[in-house]
Amino acid sequence: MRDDSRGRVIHALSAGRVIDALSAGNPSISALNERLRSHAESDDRIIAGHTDADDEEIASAWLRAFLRGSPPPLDHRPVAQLRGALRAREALHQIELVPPGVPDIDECRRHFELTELIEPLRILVGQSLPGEPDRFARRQTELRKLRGFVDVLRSEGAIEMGSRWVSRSARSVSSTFGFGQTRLLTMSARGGLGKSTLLAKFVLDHAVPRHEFPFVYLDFDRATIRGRTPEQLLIETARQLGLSFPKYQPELERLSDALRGVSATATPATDLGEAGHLLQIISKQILADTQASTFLLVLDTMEVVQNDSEAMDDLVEFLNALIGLGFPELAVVAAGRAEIPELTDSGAREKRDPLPWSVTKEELGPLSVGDAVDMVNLLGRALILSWNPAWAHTIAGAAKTRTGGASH
Amino acid sequence: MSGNEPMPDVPGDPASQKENFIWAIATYVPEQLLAWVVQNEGVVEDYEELVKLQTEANEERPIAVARALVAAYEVEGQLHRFASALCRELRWAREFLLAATPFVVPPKTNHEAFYARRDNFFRGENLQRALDEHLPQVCCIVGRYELDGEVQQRSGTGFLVGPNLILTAMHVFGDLAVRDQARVPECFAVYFDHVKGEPLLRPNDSRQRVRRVQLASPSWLVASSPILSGDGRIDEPDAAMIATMRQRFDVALVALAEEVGAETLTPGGGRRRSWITLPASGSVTLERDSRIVIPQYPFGEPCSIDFGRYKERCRSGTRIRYNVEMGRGTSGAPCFDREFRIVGVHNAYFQVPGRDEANQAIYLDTFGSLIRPHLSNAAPPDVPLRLWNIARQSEPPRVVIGRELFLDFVSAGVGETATTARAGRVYAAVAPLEGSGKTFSVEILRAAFADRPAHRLIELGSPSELLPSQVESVARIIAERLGVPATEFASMPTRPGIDLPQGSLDGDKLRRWASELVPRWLLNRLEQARDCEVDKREAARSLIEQDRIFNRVTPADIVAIANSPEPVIERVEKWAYGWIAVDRLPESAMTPEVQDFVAALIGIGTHEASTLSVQRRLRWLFLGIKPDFLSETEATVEHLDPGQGAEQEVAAMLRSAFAAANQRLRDDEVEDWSKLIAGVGRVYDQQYTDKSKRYEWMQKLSQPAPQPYFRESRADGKAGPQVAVLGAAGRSLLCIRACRFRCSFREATAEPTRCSCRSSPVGRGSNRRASVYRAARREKRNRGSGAVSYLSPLCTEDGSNRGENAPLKRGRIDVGRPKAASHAR
Repeated sequence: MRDDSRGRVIHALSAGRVIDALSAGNPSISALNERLRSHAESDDRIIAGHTDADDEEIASAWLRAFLRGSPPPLDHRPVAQLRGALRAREALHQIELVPPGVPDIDECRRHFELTELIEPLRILVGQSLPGEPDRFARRQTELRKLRGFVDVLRSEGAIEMGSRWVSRSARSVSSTFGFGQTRLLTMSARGGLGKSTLLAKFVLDHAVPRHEFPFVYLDFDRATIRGRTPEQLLIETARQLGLSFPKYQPELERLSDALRGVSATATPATDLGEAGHLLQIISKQILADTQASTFLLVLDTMEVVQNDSEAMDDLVEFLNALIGLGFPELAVVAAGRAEIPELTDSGAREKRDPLPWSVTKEELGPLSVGDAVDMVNLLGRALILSWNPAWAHTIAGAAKTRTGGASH
Repeated sequence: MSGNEPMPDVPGDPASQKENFIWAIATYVPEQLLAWVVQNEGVVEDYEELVKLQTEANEERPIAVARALVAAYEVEGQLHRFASALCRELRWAREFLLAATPFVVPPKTNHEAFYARRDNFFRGENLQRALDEHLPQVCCIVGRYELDGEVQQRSGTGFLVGPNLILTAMHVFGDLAVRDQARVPECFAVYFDHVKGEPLLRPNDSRQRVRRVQLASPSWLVASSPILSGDGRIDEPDAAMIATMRQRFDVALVALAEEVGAETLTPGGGRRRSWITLPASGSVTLERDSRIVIPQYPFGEPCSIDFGRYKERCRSGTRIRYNVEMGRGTSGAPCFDREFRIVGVHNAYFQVPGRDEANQAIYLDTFGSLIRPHLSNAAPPDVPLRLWNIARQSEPPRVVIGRELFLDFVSAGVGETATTARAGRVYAAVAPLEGSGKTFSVEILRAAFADRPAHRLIELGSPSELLPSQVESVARIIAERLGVPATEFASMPTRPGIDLPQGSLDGDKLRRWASELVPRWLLNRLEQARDCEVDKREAARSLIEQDRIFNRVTPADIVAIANSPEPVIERVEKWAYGWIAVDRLPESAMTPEVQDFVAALIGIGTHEASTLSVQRRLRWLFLGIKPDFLSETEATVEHLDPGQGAEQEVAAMLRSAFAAANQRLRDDEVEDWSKLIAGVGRVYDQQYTDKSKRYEWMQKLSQPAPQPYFRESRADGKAGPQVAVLGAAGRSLLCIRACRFRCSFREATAEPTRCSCRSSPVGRGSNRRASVYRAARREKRNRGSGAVSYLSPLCTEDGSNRGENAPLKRGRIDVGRPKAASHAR
């Protein structure tokens, strides 16, 4: 870093653009460097998560790491660390010359948002860090069905393998002859039966280890998703795809801009159908790149959409736009507290057109006492050092009464 | 701390006292108020810069800022002023007053000021709104004249009943109105907006922020009724006296020299002052003990208000009596009923042996017929004027160019008309380029709310602060600014984590927490904090303690309230609307969880009619982008582009500037300026590809420039950047015209000698040329190059004046030949 660029850094610091001021006075460059070096060790500990640092301290540690020019990689960091890294990078956004190796803001933001997307699911299954063991147990049958439906992960057993082979062959033949259909799996269960947790486990198994296939998770619990227009749902879909596949992010962003109506260049897709078609094309490019066969779209908390007929119409319109003339690689999992006839029954649809997808219905039953006991034991062992497994039987009975089998 | 607890002792040694004062400033003075006080006091030139220079961590920064301010005022020997100003604003904060007391040197007038305003505390529902509306319409009348070799000083109160008509008591004008009526306009003046500071004692007192108007001359007295000798001492009038009382009402309808009622309250535009409409005859009846509210200027002191109750009407039916406290110099004050309808004009102190003392007004219904024929039927203007300038009166104009959509949005939001569409309370400025003015929006809001404390501004993100990235931070910022007690924060739903489920069915669902639980919690707290019941005893006890600090005797009614064994409950609306500006978009994006939270607070996914009332009191501004969760119909979307021409926008601004002073800008003047702006825009576009400074340039056209703006010609003879001294020239028209109408504009000129309007309505030009010449010489001295080009619509190259319609003129001044090629600065 040349002196003048350091000067700019210091100017930025004195202008109050930083989270943690490095000095109250006007330090010389050498004093600044000395100060930065003196923090290196403690910063490493903070960034590695070995301290109880608060958000400001984390952001400050990242900022100093950026200024030293030796930031650690962003991959596989907890969301708090990535938030700190993003804040630190944003604080430096007007610095003209940053040390090489410092990721740009978009990269920091992508890592943060991808991890933040997964964070609620991780909490649901009780997973402390990405990739680490969770507290989810049982529901193996349902998980197997989900895995088979998506057919991306390795099969667990000969029966599952055989079953999947048959389905896959049928799909392949259908697709070859041009009448392949999108697949829709609906999962219904009353509240508290662990539906969201099961979906979270399923999504984490698919999405987190390696981003090998396109995957989008729309949770209608989110205020930004519920009751939104088809265009807005397409934009969110594009955003999530861009997080996992940064190579396609510019293209997806142009598509989003066109949908927002802020750009008349490059991808002038103002028509919903055309935008959906373009998104499908990009998705297929991703499928080809990753050699995957399935684009997984998860629609969670569907009961929120079902409460609003207009929102349901918009959701159907969004799906229709995405599917277009056909998108056999698309697998949609929709979960809610009740059956979803708006998606599964052509008679319930206003236009009564044939459904553009094949339907599989799944109803989640209450957790068995045995499964509940196993889950409570997992939770107990994780939280209480002197856990007595006998306590699980007592608690599982209560848990069944209360929640019917949520993961915790 | 309740008012019953003993007051803590103020530490004795000066160092401790100062530390205590610093701590109190950091603890009790809201940031916005502190900025306002400092900027008004004028000792610290750049408050923002002072704040930026404090590099302490967030929680220590308020202390550091307070310490720096105290040091700055101490150096200037003005610490007592600073302390006094803060005391005036924080009279409710007992601990603060205690801490500030050692630093206040309270002149007597400060005591009076405290007393004059103290009853502002006792506000009822909608009272704030009514006072906001009517106080600017009430004026102080001050006169000083010599009669029979004796100097007489008079003061009174009056109120606007037309654009240029005030109603007051006839006796305010004293003997002069009877014996030498023609001299009244030169001996009396009328003052509006006198809300703080020293008393007004002379008719030629000129102050910032106080609007002085002269009486129309010579026909200042439009209608009147003579005074009644012994008025206020007549209890049992006989028939003859009753007949006399029915002919002598002691009222005067006075014409002013300017239509001050049609002006805006601030020269920058916005709400007009307007005037009070008299109710129809017989439409208002008074019940015994019904409320009477009287704003007044006692002794020329800043405006104060007292609240009392109606007692009786005299036997003649022409006078009403009440127990509202009035001081000398309040004659002519408007008497409002509970609904803020005029019922009379205060004129006397009622003092009859054996009767309870009271105050007295002339009952409107008895003299209304005398006044009404002279009043215009036109309704007062209720549409705010477009804001054209956000600078304070003491500063050079800072003009608002364009932004029609935003200004309309703000005007609609500031008005009390409830908006029914979501787009009426959600605004998004799509501004992908720097210099589009998105952050300027916040400054516009500050100016728009300067006289509207019921509108609270909350900033999320600013040029010096990152956008908060977590829901808790956003919730706390909003809650703090909207008056939720800090003790409530402990009840905020805890963020779900993997350690333990949080005790509810959805305790492990992060999205639901951000989208439902925290928004619900916050909205609930906001509702409680906004409209609450307060025990008046607390305020009364606080007043008693203030009096103790300043060695004053507390009135008995205040003591009675303070000592009441039962709570004295009153409903208080703490704020009307919260304006939440999310700035720094898109350079600092909202995190998804914050987006969820904000979307839920707005009510996304919920029909507008189904949202909570407190939700509809939140106005949202997204500055930089339109968040994707907003559909086109859910927000007022404005696209900002600094590269767009500003011709029409500047013309609109100029019209507003003159309309604010109740003047009309001629079309030919507008046309000249539009041509100039277009020319500058073209020159700018030819010279610069970076559009980020374009609006800034346009702004500088209309304000005085501390340094002339110039660019040197290139040595190779090719045309270099040629935008010249427009900063100095451009402000001329505004100053020229405005100075003639409102002295505040002259005060706004940083260097009075540059205000070329003094001798000519179009400017002399020589000052400007001289400054260009000096700049050229300076350049030559520094850089060896001394050619300066300039554009001026108002004067020719030799400095002579061609009149208002002079064409755009390009000039050039050479001071020797440049020695070497140089680049534009």
